[in-house]
Order: sequence, then C-alpha cells, then structure tokens
Amino acid sequence: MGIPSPEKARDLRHFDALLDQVLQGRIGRRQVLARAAALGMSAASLATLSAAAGGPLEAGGLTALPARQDATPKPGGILKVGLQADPSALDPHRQTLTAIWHVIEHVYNRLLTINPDLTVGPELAAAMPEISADGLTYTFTLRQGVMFHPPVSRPLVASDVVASYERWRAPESAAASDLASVDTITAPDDATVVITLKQPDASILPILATSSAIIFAPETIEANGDLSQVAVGTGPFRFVEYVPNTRVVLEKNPEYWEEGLPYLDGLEMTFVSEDTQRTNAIITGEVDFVEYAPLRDIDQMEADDAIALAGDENMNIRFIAFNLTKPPLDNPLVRQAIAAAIDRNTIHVPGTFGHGTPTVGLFPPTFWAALNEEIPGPDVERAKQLMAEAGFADGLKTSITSWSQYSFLSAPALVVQEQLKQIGIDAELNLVETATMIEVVHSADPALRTYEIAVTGTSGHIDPGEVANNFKTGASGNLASYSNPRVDELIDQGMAATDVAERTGIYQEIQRILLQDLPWINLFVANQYEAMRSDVKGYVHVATGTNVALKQTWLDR
Amino acid sequence: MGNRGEGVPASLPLAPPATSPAARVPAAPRLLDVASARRPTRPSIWRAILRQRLALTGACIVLFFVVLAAVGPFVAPNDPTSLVGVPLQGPNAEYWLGTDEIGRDVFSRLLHGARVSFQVGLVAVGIAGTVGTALGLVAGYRGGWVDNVLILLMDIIFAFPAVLLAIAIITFRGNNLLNAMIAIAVVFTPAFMRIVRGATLSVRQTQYIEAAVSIGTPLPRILARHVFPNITAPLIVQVSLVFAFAVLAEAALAYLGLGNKPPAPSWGSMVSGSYGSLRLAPWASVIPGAAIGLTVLGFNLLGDGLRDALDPRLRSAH
Repeated sequence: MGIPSPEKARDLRHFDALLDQVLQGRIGRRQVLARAAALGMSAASLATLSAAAGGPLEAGGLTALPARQDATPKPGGILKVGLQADPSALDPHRQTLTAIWHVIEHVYNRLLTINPDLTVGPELAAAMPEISADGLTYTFTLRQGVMFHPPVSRPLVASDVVASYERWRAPESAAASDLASVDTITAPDDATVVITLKQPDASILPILATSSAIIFAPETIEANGDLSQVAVGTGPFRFVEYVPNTRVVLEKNPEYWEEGLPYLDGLEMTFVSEDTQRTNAIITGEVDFVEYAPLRDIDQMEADDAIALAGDENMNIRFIAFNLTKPPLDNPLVRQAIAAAIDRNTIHVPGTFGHGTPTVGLFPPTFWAALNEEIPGPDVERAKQLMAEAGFADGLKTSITSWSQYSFLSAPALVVQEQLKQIGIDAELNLVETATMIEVVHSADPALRTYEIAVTGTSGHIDPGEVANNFKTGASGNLASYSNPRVDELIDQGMAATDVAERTGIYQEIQRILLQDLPWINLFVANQYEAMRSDVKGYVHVATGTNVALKQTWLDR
Repeated sequence: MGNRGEGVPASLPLAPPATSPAARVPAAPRLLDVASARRPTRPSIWRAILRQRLALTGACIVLFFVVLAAVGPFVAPNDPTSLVGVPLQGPNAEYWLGTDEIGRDVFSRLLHGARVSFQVGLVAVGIAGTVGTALGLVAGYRGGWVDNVLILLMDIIFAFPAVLLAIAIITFRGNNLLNAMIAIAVVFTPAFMRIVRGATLSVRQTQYIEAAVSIGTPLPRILARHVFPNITAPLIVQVSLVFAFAVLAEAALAYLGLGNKPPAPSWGSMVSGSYGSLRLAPWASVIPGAAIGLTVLGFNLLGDGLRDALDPRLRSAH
C-alpha cells in the first residue's frame, strides 16, 4: 500500500469528516455532494458518501458545481474581483460589516477558521485548543514561523493575540459582545495563549473564527491610530492600497506560512454594487470573479460555459420582525393573524428567484440545528378570525420598514404589505437606507428602535447560538425586544452543551417556542453563489459567505 | 458666475433652458398695431403650430398623455398594487405589458403612474409658475434693491444642483408625494422668475405702461392688467418646458425612492424597481422608462414649437 500521497491523505481526512456529519444527520445529501465535489474527491468516495446520505448518486443533482481542481495549480496572475460593496473603512472593530470582512479576510489570519464543511479548524493555532474538564479554560499553541507583513516584519507571538482580542472586547469595539463570556486572555509564553471563560460557552470556538477575531500587530495601531486605512496581518495577501469607492489592491505575500500559497500574484478588487452590473461584469469578463452572484441571473450564468459558479445553501435567514413594545404588535393574536395571512411561497420568489428555500425555522433545511416543519399555506379565513379575536375585526394601521437598497428584502416586504391588506392591515411601507435601518430596526438600544414591523435578515453566522442570542432578554441583537424566561434558559443550555445531538434538541425546542410566540416570522433562506470565469480554478465556496478560498485559487490561462 | 440670465449651469441637468428670444416678444416692432402686439390672437398661434410638424407631434404626445392621465386609472384592467400573477411574465393577452418582479400588472401600473406624473407636473408647475411669475413681475417692474434681493434669492436656489436641492427639501419636510411636488416647485421657481422678470423689464419701457402710470393706475392693477397680459407668450413656452422637467424630476426622485411611496405606482419607481431584472424582464423597466422619455419629448417639442410660433421674429423667418 505504501504511504498515501498528500492528495490522498487530504481526501481521506475530508472523507472522514463528511461521513461523520452524514451519519450524524448533520448535513443532507445534496450538501455532501456539493462539498465533496468542492474538495475534489474521487467518484468512489462520492458514491460512498451519497449512499450513506441515503440516495444514489445521480448525474446533474448539483445545482452549482464549484470550480474543479482537475489540474496542477499554476502560480501567477492578478485576479480581478468584483465586490458587492465598498467597505468605507477597514477596521472590523469599528463596524462589523461584511464589506470590510471581504477585503481584510485575505490580509489577516485568525487563530481558528471555518472549514468548507462548516467545522472549526486551526489557522494560526497549531491545533485545536486544549479545553479544561470544566470547559472554562482554552489553551492555544501558536503555529511557529508566522511572519507579519511589512512594515512590521517580525514573527507572530502570543502577546499579539492578547492585544488583538483585548481591542476586540474593549467597550468601544462594535463587536465587544462577541466575547461577553470571556474572563481573561493571557500569554504565559510566546507560543501559548490561554483564554478563560466566565461560564461554559460552546459558541466560543466559532466566534474565534469570525471576522472580528483578526490577529494584528500592536505596532500597527501605534503607528496609525486605528486600522481603518491600513491592514497589516499574516495572511496570504498584503495590503497595497485602498481608494474609497474605487478599488482595493492586494499583492501576494511571498512569506505566507501555508506552503505554496497563494497561487495568485495579487487581487485587484473593485466595487460593483448594482446586481445587473455585477452580472454584466462577469459575463463580459470585465472581472474574473464576483461575490454575491445575483440570484436572478444564476440560471443564465449556469447556462454560460464561460462562467463557473460556486455556491449552495448559505447561513442566513430573512424574516419579519415585530417590535413587541409597539401596540398592537404586542398582541400575540395579531402576530398569529399575520403569520396565518402570509404566503412564504410567494414572498420568497422576488427574494431568491428560486435559489433559496422558504422556511419556518431559523436555519437552512440541511443545517444540523434546522427545524424542518412543513411550510403552512396562507389561511386568510383563520387570519381574519384571529384579527377579530384580537379586537381588530375592522383592521388596523401599522408600518413596515425595510432596506431600500436590498431588493431581496424590499421586494418581499412589498409582497408582505400586499398580503396583509387581505386581513385589513393597512401597513405603510418605509424603504430606508442603511444608516436609518441600523438605527430604527437594528439598534442595540431599544429606545432607538422605533419600527413597528420590519422585513430584514441576518447572515454570516456559523453557530446556532449566535442566532438564538437574538431572542435573549436584553441582548443587543434582540430587535423584537422579546423576553421569555424559558428561551433564556434554553439559550444558556445551548451555549453550555457540547454534544451535537443535545444542542440540536435545545435549538429545535427554542425554534418551536418562537413559532408560538412569534417575535419573528421566518420567511426564507437564500442560497449564495460566487461566479467566476471558467479559467479561474481551485476556488471553494464556504457557506458562511467568506471568500478566503481565493488563497488557493489560480488562473488557468 | 457671470451671464446668469442666459446660461444654464452644467450642474443643473433638470433646469429648463432660458428662452431668451421669446423674452423680447412684447417689444415687438409693430407698436402701432397695439391690439396684435399685446396678445397674438389664438388662431394665429395654432396655425403657426400646425405649420410645424415637430410641434404638432409634440402636441399630439402631450394630448395623449393628458388623456392617459385623465382616463387611465378608470380603464386599467387591474389594481396597480395587487399581486395579480406570476412574477416577470412577458407581455401576454392577459397582462399586456407583462408583470413585474412581484407579480403586479405593468400596464395597470403604467396607466396609474401617468396620473401621478401629470399631477406632479400640474402642481409643481402651478406653484412654481404662480410664485415665480409674481416675483418676476415685482422684480422686473420695481427694479432697484427689490430686484437685486429677489435675483440673489433665485441665484441661491439656482446654485444648488436641482436633484440635490429637491432631496434636501424632501428630507427636511418628510418623504411623501406632496413634499416631492413642493420640492420640484421650489427648484423650478427661478426658471419662471427669470423669464417673467426679463419680459417685464422690456414691457415696462413701453408707452402704454407710461400712459397707465401717468393717469395714476395703482401698481397691482398695472401689473395685472397691463404687464402680465403682455408676457404670457414666453410664460406659456416656459410652462410647457418646465412641465417636462417636472415629470422628469418626479421620475428621478421616485427612482431614488423619494416622493410617491411604494407600492403606489410612479414611472420612476417602476424603472428603479425593475431595473435589476433588466436582463430577465426588460419590459418591466424599459416601458415606463420609454413613457417618461416620450412625455418629456412631447412637452419639449410643444414648447419649442410654441416658442417659434410666439416669437414674431422667428415667425417671420419661417
């Protein structure tokens, strides 16, 4: 037999990981196949996995095949990337914007990372941490020989991690609440970081893999005041320049610690925020790669041989939120009436164009914590009856607030508004820009949240605990101002539990309670795709929406 | 910032061009024939328009638009906000112009949108025309510091890019259709004021005004009975041109999500709402876009034709 080749070993490792998930029922067959294909697994492995997932391997079963890794990667070339949004600044502790993340994720590393199979793996940590028996102490050993980009140009040490995390959880940080369960962060020596928790928290590992968890050198802050215009990390690409509203240029980091990576000489990122323009840019070849390939154009791109798509279900949820401090929405009968009146099968169409799934739960149907209940059809009669019971037989006036620039939310909001007319709810629709939306709907301060009904969404999370936290009494993400002691208790249990089956039970129970109480009415989850020219190879889609796989992407030209 | 009276700043894409030749109409050379100099008789205007094919085309388009705005909402086959069918259907027997992204009937929305555009044009031009004319008459007739102050005020308004000023006014007053109309009126008031002031300046020099003053006619009466009737010609031209720009401004504001609130139909918001599906469903955005373009073209052609018809110098050149 001999020693397996590196490819073979990798294949086997991923195979084991996937099979494990399949057997635990954490992911479905379609997802298994997509991921296995993404990992470049052999047909035999695929067949085994597919059988384990409960079905034969059928041709054409995948909606989107990632770029195949079928040849030896060629180094060199600049990849022209079309990003959806201008980040406006680069400091992830000032604002937690996806747009910032999609620039700096190539420049910085974190201790941990999210693998394409949504498991957490080590990045700057040499291995997964040692966790004490009481679940309160996490000991990380750092990878050796990791160098910071110029002008810092020195090896990474444990005190950098401490400084980075302290800035992350400082009171003025926008993401401080991420580390609420952390007690102390210390560096006993240059290669060791010890994190102690106030109480056990199962979501701490994925949190250490999020965008706020970047490791930087304290010298950079000293020299520049903050990180808004610079980025000096340890990642596969070095920051060259950021011209607001124009472009970001990154160049290859020749000292990158992952052997042989990156393949590309650099990334030239431009901002193409209009959906139509992004489609045009990739179809005409003006750029080589676009994120957030517009869902309405997926079918067309799929038919185009010059374009390859990578993508699948994504961790996001689009929902109706009620401000429970605003009568009559504090009346559960009114919320139940609204839930009975809406038709998710119509609402999701302008939001996903068929590339998504209506849902009553908080997660994509194939996610391990998903609550896959049947989608109820609209029942206008029952809804009217509920309205009458609530004392609103003659209808009521309210308002719906949603995002003006995201048609995947504003168009569903229009449908909701129209559907509510049938039960006498006259809702004024306010489509507002980001700043207003963040203040009146997503503000951490309940006093600023003046909305009544909102059609909005959340995305990019990896652990169900992060989503469930939006329902914890007094939590900053609790935009509904919802409070239920039983749910609070379950959220704490979910954080403390480590067993997947146990956590699944807890999060499904939370979702069932939410379906009764209805602080949100979940509408649908949307798929997410990256589109690239077909000579762009090696890219792998990750369901958190990150583009970190550009480090292993290469150009076959 | 020289030459304010004539030029249109480049930053004002929506500002109507100043109609300077027409401004001299009342100073027409046929002073002996007072009756015809004071007011060109209606039949002659119409005859002049009919002589110009382009102006006639413009008049037809405008007439069509007016009829659409008047009867459109009554003949629309569907409710403009109801989700009547499968989204993004192409034009078919049931939905003549197809359906939009959430399944509303584009044809019905187009018909209802015509009324919104017409309403905005009417109200905005009404306000801007009344205020602008009053200010222009006073400034032109009184001259001196009154004139200077009014001109300065108008220049301040003129100095702002039109859409930016409108957005500022709407942000300040609240986002609804009425405020959008007011904002558009404010933006176009200087356009009327300048034209009227220019015309008033030349009328003021005439002998019949001198005569009226000499017999002690009160100022309001002079302005209303002797000056105003003699400046209607350039005013009519300006009304037609500004109407076009008001329709365009409403569409631009609606495209930016200002003014008419969703789901109420407006041509501008129809374009912006369906623009994303340009590849999949061009009809949903191209048709309302074409309606805006056609209406603006119609009013412009009519305005140009009226200008030619009402300017005796140009008329004789034909």
